Amino acid sequence: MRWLIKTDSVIHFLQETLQKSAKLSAFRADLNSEESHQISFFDDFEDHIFKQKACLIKQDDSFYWISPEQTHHLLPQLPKFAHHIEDEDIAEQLNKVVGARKLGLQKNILVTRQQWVLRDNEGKVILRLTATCDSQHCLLTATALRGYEKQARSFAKQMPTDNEITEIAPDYHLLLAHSGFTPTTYSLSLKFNLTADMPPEQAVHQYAYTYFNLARENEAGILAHNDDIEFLHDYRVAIRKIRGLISLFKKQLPKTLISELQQELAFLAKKTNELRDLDVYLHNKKSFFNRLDTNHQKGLEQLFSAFEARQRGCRRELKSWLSSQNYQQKVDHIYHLISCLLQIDSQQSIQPCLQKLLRKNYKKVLATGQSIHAKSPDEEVHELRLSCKKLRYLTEYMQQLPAAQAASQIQKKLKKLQNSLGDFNDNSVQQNKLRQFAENAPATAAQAAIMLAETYASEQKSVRKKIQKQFAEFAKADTQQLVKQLSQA
Amino acid sequence: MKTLACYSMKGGVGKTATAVNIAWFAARAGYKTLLIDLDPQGASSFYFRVKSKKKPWDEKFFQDHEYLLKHIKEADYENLDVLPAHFSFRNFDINLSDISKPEKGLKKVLKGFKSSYDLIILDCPPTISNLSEAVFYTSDLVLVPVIPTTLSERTLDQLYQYFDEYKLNTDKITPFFSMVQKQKHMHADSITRLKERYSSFIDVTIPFAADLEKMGEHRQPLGEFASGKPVFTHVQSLWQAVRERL
Ligand SMILES: Nc1ncnc2c1ncn2[C@@H]1O[C@H](COP(=O)(O)OP(=O)(O)O)[C@@H](O)[C@H]1O
Ligand SMILES: [Mg+2]
Repeated sequence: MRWLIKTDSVIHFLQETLQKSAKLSAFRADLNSEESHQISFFDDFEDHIFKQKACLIKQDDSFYWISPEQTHHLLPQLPKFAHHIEDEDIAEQLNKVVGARKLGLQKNILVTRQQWVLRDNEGKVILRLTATCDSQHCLLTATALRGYEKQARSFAKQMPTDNEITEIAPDYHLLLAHSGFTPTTYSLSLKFNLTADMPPEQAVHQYAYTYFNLARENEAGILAHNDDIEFLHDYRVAIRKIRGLISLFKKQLPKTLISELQQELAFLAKKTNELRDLDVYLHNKKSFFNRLDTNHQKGLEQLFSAFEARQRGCRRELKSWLSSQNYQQKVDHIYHLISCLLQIDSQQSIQPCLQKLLRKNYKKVLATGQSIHAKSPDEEVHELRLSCKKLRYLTEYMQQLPAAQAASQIQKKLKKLQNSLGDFNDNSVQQNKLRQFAENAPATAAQAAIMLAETYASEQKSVRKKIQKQFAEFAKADTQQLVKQLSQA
Repeated sequence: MKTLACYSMKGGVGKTATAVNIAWFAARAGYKTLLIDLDPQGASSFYFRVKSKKKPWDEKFFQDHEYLLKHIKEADYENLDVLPAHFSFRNFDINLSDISKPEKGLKKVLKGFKSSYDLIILDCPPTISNLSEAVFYTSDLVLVPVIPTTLSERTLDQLYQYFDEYKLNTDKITPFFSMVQKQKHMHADSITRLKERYSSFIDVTIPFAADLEKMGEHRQPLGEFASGKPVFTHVQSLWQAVRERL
């Protein structure tokens, strides 16, 4: 049992509570211990830890990772990234929450922890209370002693019910949440409240405008945080989302406007391609080392130090690009193009448009997928990947319409297939890049790069088998049913 | 799980004081400990401020484990639970005589605690009866406080005879000197004689000490209010000796 109360004196609060009931008035509360700590909270740019109701804290020079269920894990030092933690289990837990994000100080709070006991009229302890308090709030956690559950219930009955905390979260998280801290609203998944009869121009405008702003919110992070690779990642995803959507509306929207916008966005994306690739390589460095046996380690070292050097160079280039006059002009131009969407006098509604697109794209996916067999060339698999991607964007976008449950169900059904198709593509992209790199690299590094490429080549076959199976699964009647449902709604 | 009985057929020798303090030390050392107050007078329950429910137990103690669990109370100290005494415990002898193998009755009951406790301490009433036979049969160690007087020598003899008669393992009998007053010649002489006769004596003597008497006022184990006193060290040594023998 846990309550959050607004008080600066636990003893007053407890005494008042006991006086409220005749049964409890002879009970007394004793303070057993009290200690104060400066608690420093750490989190990433998106406040992921806070949002997951966990805590990464520093207390008296020790660092703890605290799960929502209040399991404390002691960490040897403050990790800069989840993957820096040596304990694999904890690294995995934290990785699920913050991914590749960099961790930094979020807020300091002075916290007092008091241990109280409640004694009955015989002086027997019947309840233990922990008070975790900042200057204004206290979290009171009560644990009944075995055999005294009834008395504990009488006590709980006198506590203000509105203040009872039922959510699963650490005390420290709740204190932070009530200390006036508000987490950032930044998120890659945005909610648009589209209406069925909205003109597509307006809907696309809203989406493009919002996501372009979101992309731009990452500029400062890219410029400042050298090693948090997620800013660049999000910048690219936001731009990709816009490109994905407008490519769907090729036929519905003015051709010149669309192609110009596509071009400009593609240009921005292209400026970041190489750095993103390097970011991913270096982030997954460990897994690359695991792919090859020890006699290639030296080559890998060389390979990766070359990557690192190139990464530094790319970062410099990207930073100067983002700070340039030219970039600013591109940005202004893109805003202008997006705003042109609003000036179109539209006769259409978004929902029927999307429904038509859904039918068309679903058919395309089926046709492409069905023609693939064990011996068909890689290009056909890539074709399937591209049409699946379109369908994904479509279902993602359709979820913004009211009553679009089916859209998210289709997206779920598509997910496994899409992942494998993504792996398939990554595999061939990696192979090409590594082989390309090998051409100009010193011998040992080149050899390691080729060996790495080989490991990808051998994986390619098994991924392909998976794709066929997953496509068959996706092509089943229940997906068709969902598509039908969604395109008629 | 080990079972330790604090037993003497004499009253007022320090059984309860021993049970309460050993339980406290064991719990502090990390043993999940359950003290069962078998004496209907409820002295150890009093020290721990725990009370039983009013309702009569009938013969449930030996038959209904679930019912027994419901009566366990958590003491104020970590790792320590108490099963408080109840007036129904006066009927233990009759309850036990009703079952086919009375000496095994208690062992069966305690088996149910195996997964929850490391140590069970039985604070026994000063009788020799069906219950004490069951206690002797069940316990790994029977800790016997002995006040070094001629009379106590006789009762210890009687205990050994009883064990022989009922074919119980006399190795379990673990006497120690309790309430010893060094200045009394009688005590000193008796200690010498007993030590010669019984090699089983624990090499720790508990002196007669005002602080042990005061446990009644404080209603707390010795360690909670007199941890700096010499007698505390004696009781601690007793616990260490017991721990080694368990
Ligand atoms: N070593 C001791 N010195 C002084 N008083 C003691 C000592 N041991 C026990 N007492 C006191 O003697 C009385 C009887 O002790 P108790 O442990 O209840 O004996 P039992 O359980 O054998 O009847 C209690 O008041 C107790 O406080
Ligand atoms: Mg007693």
